[in-house]
Amino acid sequence: MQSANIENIVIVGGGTAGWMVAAAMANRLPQKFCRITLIESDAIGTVGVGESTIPHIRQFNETLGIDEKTFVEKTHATVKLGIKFNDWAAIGDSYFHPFGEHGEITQGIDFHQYWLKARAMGENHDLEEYSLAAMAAFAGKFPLSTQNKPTVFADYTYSYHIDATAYAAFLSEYAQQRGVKRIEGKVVTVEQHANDFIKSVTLESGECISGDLFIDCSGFRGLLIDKTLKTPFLDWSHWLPTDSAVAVPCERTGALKPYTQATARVSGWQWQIPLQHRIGNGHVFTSHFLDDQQAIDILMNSLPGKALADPRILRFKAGRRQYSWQKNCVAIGLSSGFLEPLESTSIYLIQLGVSKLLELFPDKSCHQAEVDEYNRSISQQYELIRNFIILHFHVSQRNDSPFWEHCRNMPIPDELQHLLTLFAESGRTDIGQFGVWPAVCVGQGIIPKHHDARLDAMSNQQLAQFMANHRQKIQQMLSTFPDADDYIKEAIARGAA
Amino acid sequence: MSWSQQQSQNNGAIEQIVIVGADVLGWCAAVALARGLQGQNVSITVVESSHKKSNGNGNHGVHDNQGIIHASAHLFDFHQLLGIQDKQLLAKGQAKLCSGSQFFNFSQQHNQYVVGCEKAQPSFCSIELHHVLQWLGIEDPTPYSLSGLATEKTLLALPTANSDEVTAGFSPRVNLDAATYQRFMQGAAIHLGVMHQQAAIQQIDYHVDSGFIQQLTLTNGETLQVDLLVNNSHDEALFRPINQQRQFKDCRSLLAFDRKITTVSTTQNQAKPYQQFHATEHGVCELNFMPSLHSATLHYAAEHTSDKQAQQQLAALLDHAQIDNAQGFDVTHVNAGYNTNCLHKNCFAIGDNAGYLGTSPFSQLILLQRSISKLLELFPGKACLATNSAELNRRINQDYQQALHYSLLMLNFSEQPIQYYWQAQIEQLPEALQQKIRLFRSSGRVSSELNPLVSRDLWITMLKYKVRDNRGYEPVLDALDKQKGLQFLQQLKQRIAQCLSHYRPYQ
Repeated sequence: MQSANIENIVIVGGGTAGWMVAAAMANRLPQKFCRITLIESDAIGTVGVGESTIPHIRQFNETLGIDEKTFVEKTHATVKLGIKFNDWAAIGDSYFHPFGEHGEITQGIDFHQYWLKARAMGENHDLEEYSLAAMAAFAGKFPLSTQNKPTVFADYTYSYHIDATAYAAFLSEYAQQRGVKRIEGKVVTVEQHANDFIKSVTLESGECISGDLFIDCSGFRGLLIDKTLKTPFLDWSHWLPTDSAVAVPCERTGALKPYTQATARVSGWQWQIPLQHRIGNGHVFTSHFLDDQQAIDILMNSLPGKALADPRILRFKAGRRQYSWQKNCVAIGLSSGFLEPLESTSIYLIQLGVSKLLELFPDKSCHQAEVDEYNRSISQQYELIRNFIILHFHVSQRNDSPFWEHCRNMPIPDELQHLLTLFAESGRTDIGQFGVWPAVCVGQGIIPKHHDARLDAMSNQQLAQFMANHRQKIQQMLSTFPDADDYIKEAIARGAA
Repeated sequence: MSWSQQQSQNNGAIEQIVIVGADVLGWCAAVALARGLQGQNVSITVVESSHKKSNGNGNHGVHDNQGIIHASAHLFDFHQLLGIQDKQLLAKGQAKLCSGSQFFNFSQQHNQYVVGCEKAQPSFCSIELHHVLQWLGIEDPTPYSLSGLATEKTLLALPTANSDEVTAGFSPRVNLDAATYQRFMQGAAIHLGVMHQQAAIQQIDYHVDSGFIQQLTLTNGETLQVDLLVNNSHDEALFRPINQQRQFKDCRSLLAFDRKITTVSTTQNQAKPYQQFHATEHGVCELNFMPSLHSATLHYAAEHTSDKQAQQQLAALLDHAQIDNAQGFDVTHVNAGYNTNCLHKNCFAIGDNAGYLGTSPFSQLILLQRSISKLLELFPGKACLATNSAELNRRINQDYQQALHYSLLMLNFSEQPIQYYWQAQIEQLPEALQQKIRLFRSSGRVSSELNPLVSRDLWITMLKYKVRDNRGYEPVLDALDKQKGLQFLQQLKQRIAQCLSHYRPYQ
């Protein structure tokens, strides 16, 4: 027999994390099974992270029964095919990190190995010319369907740029329609049982809300996981030295670019995320090397349209909680950890946190076996993403500022060093890793010393034909795709109908 | 060293592969490499010396090329990659499907149980069957396992090709006649252009600087140039200079058996759709049944059991199982453990050279096939670059570790007071396996992994028999109607009965 079931779940904090958790739980847990209460305060702002997302969000929406048309309309979403990185390898260079691999695995050999050999024999086509996502993105097109596509693009997928605040509002409505109770208020005290489990939280109004399971979505404050349970924070700022961001929206100009842009700056980098009605902009920087005003100036001087608000400064520290789940409290979102938004992983980490929690949903005892498994799994994902982000900074060839000097010369985690050497040596990657390594490594100028030796048996002429066929297939497909803007307009029109 | 400080090495394409050891594993490796490297100007030679051969289960001894290889469903995936038609093997009786394993005397509480080969769990309101059983207080999962029941009733269970969670929800294993399978693989290899040298190795030349194997001289006067050597030799002394440099993960403290005694019986008895494991005071006995050929092996520890006692124990079991005409007894010394660097310099260890982990569905054959697949994924050039080799070894180690953990769970782990010297309680197991057992006991859950040797469903199937006092299930079930849950089980039973009525007798 297991111990008593959870009857009351209390989510502390709204925002993207709080409402994603509430929506996912309301969808999964029947109302007669347990009550879900979410406490949020209008007086406390949300960070509104994650305007740029990765394809996993589509699975999240699908699980919740949210169709694309509704989602696109409610969140002012546009489609995203990847990230264009400007000035990372060196000023003036750019590359594209697409969702999905390049080309097609042929005879058990990764496509980028063919590209490496072709390059060695003098071909000068970029790797991204063999990515449907990249080529569609540059043409402002959107590949209509991922169904029935030729094998060569089997791995292609897409995601969205969204208004994260609007997404939270939409999920708030969704969750409340399914029985989640929203309480407006600010938590002032937290009460614990003798075994340190959290018993209740008391609001400014004096209202006391008790629960069996508490979800800490209070953001950087970590009201429960940190302030109450004193869970240690693992500081990763020696690997990810950026600690500030300045954000500002601006008017959208021109046709939709179906990709995020990440442009390296003197002491950090700048994002550009196109939504239907505006462009989200931000400048992530290191306060040690750049003061706030300099950071603001860099951002404001490079906006693609007229600013729609005053710039807003955010502070953060890269790292994660040693344990995201402690006692009867699970931290999800910024209270669990922070990785800078370079690879658009904030919403994914929230999604991962709540999915894993539902997979390991506890009873009132919160058995240590579930807690351990949750923490193992979450920390593993954090580390995979962390390493992939560090990669971008570390392998840059820029030497135009102390920031880039620092990034190039800093020690990196052993696992990353191994993977980097593996790629640099022979172009090999590990499919268990996060992201498309060949895109980023090659884009940043790491050209493996050796291509797969098995390709030595392929003649130069055969290889040239093989590569040309790939390019031709992509060009043929591109001509059949609609503009990304039109796809969004049609989606909304169908939604309205 | 930073990433940009790689030394430049000649890493041209491998052209000469030599496989030393022409048993079933050697020929399997040859076929896999020949297929994987087809059209790439690679010459593959299998060298057959007069040394003893393995039968694919880590056995090698007087029963050369006799015996039965029991293999998990991974074999079919491997065959598919090689373009081998399983129907051919099955139709000729060279392979027999095996839908379960019977366990005897492993538990004081449950004398006998059958573990099927489910690969998917039927679900009730999206919740897997084993949670539902626990919720409804039903302890014995056997009536809800189609493959398990087919095993008990000696029926031929064939999964359908559709997506039905009951009729397609299991993956039969397979018993192979080792001698026939070897002939089949040898034929396939020769057909693919693999060369065969029947001579012993007289001399091995190593490169002075790198220590790589450069050339083999055979007793027939032939010399073979080597870019990559696949070491399947059973002559330990032959490759000692390079083997001594390998790192060995010693598992003897976990798997106490350092001997096994094997016999085969040519018999008029029919094949059976299961393998059997018998727990005895001397060790674990494994029985496999092919048409006209049965095999029996007792795994034991010399410290506790003499060879004579082992032979008596095995003979008693054969008698009990009414298997006669045993063809003599063959004792083999084994060391449980595995090399953590199977690819060292340009020498790739397979079979017993790679490791030995006792008995499990993941025989040497399956581990070899997975290792060769990984080798092809990360196929080296002539330089066998160090980081590439390290990554390959890391991936192979994961398989060996999982095979070890599964074997420990299946045979050694016991929740009851220890009855036999070879049994282990949870605290004696590796930490990762302990965590798996604790999680299952706590809530009936098993975590997912990427491309595992042991699938999540296989873990569940075994854990639900081994972890008898698991108390947990998906809490959400408590919000559902138990009557509907019982109805679901009733319907499932009926569905299974319907399927069973369509299955033919195994013979």
